[in-house]
Order: sequence, then C-alpha cells, then structure tokens
Amino acid sequence: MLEIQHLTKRYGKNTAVDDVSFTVETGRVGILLGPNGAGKSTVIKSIAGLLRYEGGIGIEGMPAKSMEAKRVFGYVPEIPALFQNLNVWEHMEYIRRAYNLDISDEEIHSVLRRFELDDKLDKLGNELSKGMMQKVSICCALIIKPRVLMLDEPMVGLDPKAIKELKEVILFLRKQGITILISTHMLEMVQELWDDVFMMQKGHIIASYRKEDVGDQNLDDLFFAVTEGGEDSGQEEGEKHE
Amino acid sequence: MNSLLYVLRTGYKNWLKKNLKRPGFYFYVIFLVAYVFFLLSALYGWVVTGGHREPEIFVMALTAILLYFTPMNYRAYANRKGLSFLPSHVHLMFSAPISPKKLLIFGSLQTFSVSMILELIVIVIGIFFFQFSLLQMLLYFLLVSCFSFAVEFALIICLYGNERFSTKVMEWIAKIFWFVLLAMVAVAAVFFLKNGFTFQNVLSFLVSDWICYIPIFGWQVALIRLLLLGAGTAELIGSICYLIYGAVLIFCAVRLRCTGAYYEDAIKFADDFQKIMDRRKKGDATTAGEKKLRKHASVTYKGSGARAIFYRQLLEYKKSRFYMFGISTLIYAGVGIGFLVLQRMGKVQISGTAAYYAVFGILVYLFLVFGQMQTKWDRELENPYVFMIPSSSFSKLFYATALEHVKTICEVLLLVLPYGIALKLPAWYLVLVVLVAVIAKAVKLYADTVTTLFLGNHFGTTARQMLRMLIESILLGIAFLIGLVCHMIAGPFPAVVAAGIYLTVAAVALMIAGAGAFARMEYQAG
Repeated sequence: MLEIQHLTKRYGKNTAVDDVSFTVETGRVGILLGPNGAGKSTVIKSIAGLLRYEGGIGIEGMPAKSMEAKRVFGYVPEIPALFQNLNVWEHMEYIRRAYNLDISDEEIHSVLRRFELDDKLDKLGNELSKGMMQKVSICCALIIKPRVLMLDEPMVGLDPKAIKELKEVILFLRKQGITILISTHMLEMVQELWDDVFMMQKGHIIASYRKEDVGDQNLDDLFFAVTEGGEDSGQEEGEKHE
Repeated sequence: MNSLLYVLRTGYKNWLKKNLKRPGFYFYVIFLVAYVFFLLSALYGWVVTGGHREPEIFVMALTAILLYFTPMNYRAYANRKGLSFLPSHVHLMFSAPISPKKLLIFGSLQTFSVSMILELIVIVIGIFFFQFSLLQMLLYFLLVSCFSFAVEFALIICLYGNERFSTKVMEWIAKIFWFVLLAMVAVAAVFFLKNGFTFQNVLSFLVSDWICYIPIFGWQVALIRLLLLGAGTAELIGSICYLIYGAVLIFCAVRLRCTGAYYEDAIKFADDFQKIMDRRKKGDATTAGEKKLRKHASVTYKGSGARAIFYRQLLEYKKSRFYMFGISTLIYAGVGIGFLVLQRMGKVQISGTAAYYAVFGILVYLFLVFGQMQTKWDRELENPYVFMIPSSSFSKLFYATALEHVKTICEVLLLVLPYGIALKLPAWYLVLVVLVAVIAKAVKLYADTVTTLFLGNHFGTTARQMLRMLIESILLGIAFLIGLVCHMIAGPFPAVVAAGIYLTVAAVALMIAGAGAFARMEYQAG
C-alpha cells in the first residue's frame, strides 16, 4: 500500500504541492494525472525520497525514507540516467548488491529477455539509446521484486513491443498483489491498466476516481471533464475535490 | 557499501578497458608520465642539487598547500557544494536502501582518490628528496593522511547530512570558514607589508608558531610539524586540539541522524555537474554552471542563410551578463595594465628591437593558456539546425567564427595598448600587432576545424588536440622563421608584415580545408 498524507512541498515562497493526500491500496494500479506544472513530478520525487517535504508518506505501512521501505520500493524515473562506465549486466549486479537481493542470474536474464536486452548485456550505460536506458531502468526496478512500484512516464521513449511488454508486466504484478503508481500524460496507454486515478492541478488533487465507480468510462473524458469542466464527467460517481 | 565499491571498482575497470583501445590514451599517459617526471626532476634539481633539503622547506610547502586548500573545501562543504553526484547516482542510489551517510562518503571518495594519490606522491618526495625516515612518513600517512581523510569525511557528513540546523545556520557556518580564511590572508598581508615579500620571509611566516593556533587548519599544520620537525609547545597544543577536534567530529558523524534531506540539494548540482563532465570530455576546460541571462535583448537579423548564425550568436552574447567577455578578457587587461604599472615602477627593462617582439611572446603564451576553452563556434557543431541551413559550409564557418575574431581584437587591444604606451611603440605598429595576433588566433581556430573534419568521431579529444597543436606549431613556426629572415634583412616592420601575410594565407587555406566540418553532422567529435 502507498499512502500520501497531507503532502506539502514549498520551493521558497512557491507552494508546488499543497496538502495532497491519496492512497493506492495493495494490488491496485493508481494513475497520477495532470497538466504540465500540476505538481506530479514533485509528488513522485517526494515519494522516492528525493525531496524534503511536509506531511507523511507510507510504503507498506513504513515511513518512505526508512531503509525497510526502500527495500520493497521500485522506482522508474522519467529521465533514466545510468552509470556511464557500467554495462547492462553490471547495473543488474549493482542493484542485486544494493538491495541485497536473493535473485538468481537466470531470473535476471528472464527479465532482461522480456525487454530484449539479453543481447546488449555488454553495452555500457553511455552507449545506450534513451529507449534502451528506459528499458534498463525498468528492469532495475523489476528485479527488486518490489511490493510498491512507482513509474514516472514509463512509456516515453519505448518502442511498441516494449510498451506492450510493460503493460503485461504491470497487469501481472497487479495480480501478484503489487501496488503500482504511474504518473503519465499518455492517457490511452494506461486505459486498460488503471484502478484508481488521481487528477492534479496547480498543486492540488482536484478529483479522484475508482474504476469500479465509473465503469468503462474513458480516461480522456474523465480528465477533460475535470480539467476543462466538460459535461460528460461522471463526477457524481467519483470524488471531485474543490 | 559493498554495492558502492562495486560501482567504483567496476566503473574504473571498464573505463581503463575502454581507454586502452584508444591510441590517444597512450599519448596522454606518455605525456602525463613525462610531465610528472619533468616536475619531479625539476623538484629534485631544486631540492637535492640546489641544497634545499631542510625538512622545514618540506613542511613549509605542505603548510602553504594545506592553508590554501582546506578552508576552501570546508566552505564548499558548508554551502553543501563540493560533492560531485551525477544524475545516475540520483536515479540508482538515492532511492536505494543505502545509508545516506555512506552515499556522502561515496560522493567524496571520487574526489578523495585524487587527493590520496597526491598524498602518496608527497610521501615519496618526503622519503627520497627530504630524507625523512620511513617511520616518520608512516606516522605521517596514518595520522595526517588517513586521520585527516576520516576527519574530512566526518565533516562532510556533519555539514551535508545534518538535518537539525536550518539553511541560515549553515550559511553562517560557511561564513565563519570565510572569516577564518580572510583573517589568515589579512594577517599574512600585514606580515608581508611590514617585513617585505621575500622568499626568506615567506619561509619564516609559514614556520611561525602562531599558525599552530589557528583553529582546525592550523591545528592540522601543528600535527604535521610535530611528526616531521619535532615537539614544541605550539605544535603539542595544536596537535592535541586537532586530535580532539577530529575525534569529536567523527563521534558526531556516527551519531548524527541523516535520512537523506541533502538529496534535494545534491540533485540541483547533479545536472550541472553532468554538463561539466560532458564538456570536459569534449576538451572544454570551463567549469561554470548555468549563467544568468538578460531576458530583454534583441537583434535585427540582416540577410539570410548562414548570417543567421552570426546574428543568433550576437543575440546570445547580448543576453549574457558580460557580453562576449569573460575571465580571459580580464586576464588580458590585467596583463596589459600590470605591464604598464611594472614598467612605470622601473621593474621592466625592455627596449630596442626586443620591445617590438616581446608582445608576441606574451600573446602566444596567453593563446596557449586559454586555448582549451570551448568557444561559441565549437558549440555550433553540436546544433543540428546549423547543418540544415541552406548555405555553403564555408559561409557557415565564416559566420560561426566571425564574432570570435571580434572578441580576439578586443582582448588583444586590451593588452597591446598599455604595452605600446609603456614602451612608446608607434601606433601603426600596434595596429599591425593586433592584426597579426588576430590572424594567428584564426590559424589556431581553423586548425581546430581541420582536425574535427579529419579525425571526427574516429579519435578521442586528446588525439584531436594533439593534431591541432601539431598543425598550429608547424604553421606558427614557419611564420616565426619568415619573420626572423625578414628581420635580419629589413627590420621589425617588414618582418611582422611578412609573417602576417603568410599567416593570412595559412588561415584562409585552413578555413577552406576545414569548412567541410559544417557539411555533415557526423564529423562532430563525440
């Protein structure tokens, strides 16, 4: 479970995120939506422990900054940055050591194979394209076998096959009871994935919906109804925060 | 720490493997070894042959180095700068279950590895040049090198990792380090004003007892002196203070609660640091981060095609705080004015024919010093839009480098004008000097385009720089010979004119040969 309670982040006098609270329950996929500058990245970076903030963030009931929480938390940032002098396999080895993982070489190979990286094991971080780096970044997060997985714009830079693979992995992980939070602009990419959606604007959560409450309504329609005040909103079935 | 050491170890191993495949790397290593050998033999000549083997000289040199660098480091740590994290560290380390304190040690290890190599060189110099005993240098290694590193690690953890003090308190701590530094400089200034700035006075200043009482930095000096020169009251008191200070700091660092609040500051510098690293790979020696830009600046574009490059550069310069000028401009002005002042004080004795030529020596030296800085034209090659402009490669090269020549004219003028006034050289000769200097700089600039075109992505930066230096040296060497011959036949004026004409032909030839660098982006060196 991922719990965000009264999260506030200020940069000097500017409040980037103001008293944001939401929860992604165990085994559900939460989507964080919002236009540019809404504060999504700040929320994501706060959850990943990269920023100072006010409020509380809990991962599987543990404070997000605790070592225990970090051990069960996988994070795929928006812009992947790899060690320039480490090759793909050495990145996996680093993660295995950093997280003290009990994972076999064969298991790691199978994750790499899914993302077509098994023939690029010797490629150094600075020899990979952006899409390849994104795939390595995803593999790094997956081999942790996280209880909570957070992906920031994970589809950007991926080829169609990798996008398909990633979607399948997300659905598989959900079945395994893993909690997932995805921040994205690509609404059509997460249409078949989401269980909860949290819509942000100007540092606030302005609406949140559960899939079981809105049925098969399109995410596009929900998003534009809230952000642009459209008519076909289905707001009565969800929760709109003013 | 296991995973962090793995990254360091494997990273260095792969870096070495990768570089062993590059021919330029071997040149670089040979050059470096030769350079170190040259420095050591020069030092050996001065110390051993010159009869300066007194231990006090060794300690004095260490004191000077320590008093210069340590306060600067402390100030940087207090400002939460001075540690070099990269975006990859942010991505793969900050969110991992690794103690933030260990990450601080890792962040400083990369810088400290260079310091550790320097410490080992110091120990070798101490044993072989200054005849310290092995035991003395072993004690120095354990108590000064290792203990000081541990103290500095602890300091980094306390200053970076503390989450109790507010930013304002940290700013005050940084200011205190500044005040200590300024106080030391002030005391030194008073001392030298009173006693005169001679080598003997520098020696007696650096070996004076009061240095041992300067908090932290002086205490460390006291410990060095205690180990290498023997016990005195000041050395004993300072050393005890340093050992207590170090022990307390290490204890605090171990006990300090650190959850990684510093990550936010580290992230801000990570992107800048990555840019600096990327620039260095391309042979750019500048280290500044993002510069402040003026928002309101405009330029009227006249003409079309490659001229757009010129006007865009002009707009960028207009937005820059100091227009097209920088530290190099200040240096040129400083050297020029300094020359004038020294000449007026009677410290410069140049006259006759030498006055006509000495200026070229100074200019060549400055060209060499600032030759490594990447300029606007270099960066044009990184911009794909430049390659798509429908103009000839030659005109793109011309307009991309035009403002560089204007900058050179301004900088050379700042030096040549005071020089000419000091030595009462005729105005027409100064104009000639400026023209020849600008053409010589153009030769250097266009030699770079040629190397970029012919070596491109196939060789590393080092190989490109070496080829460029070879071309420059040959062409400037020929100019020197032409000048020399003409001087012997007809005097300074025809000599400079002849060299200038030859350099103009060479610059144009290089320009034509190197214009192809703007034809396709694949020539760009990575």
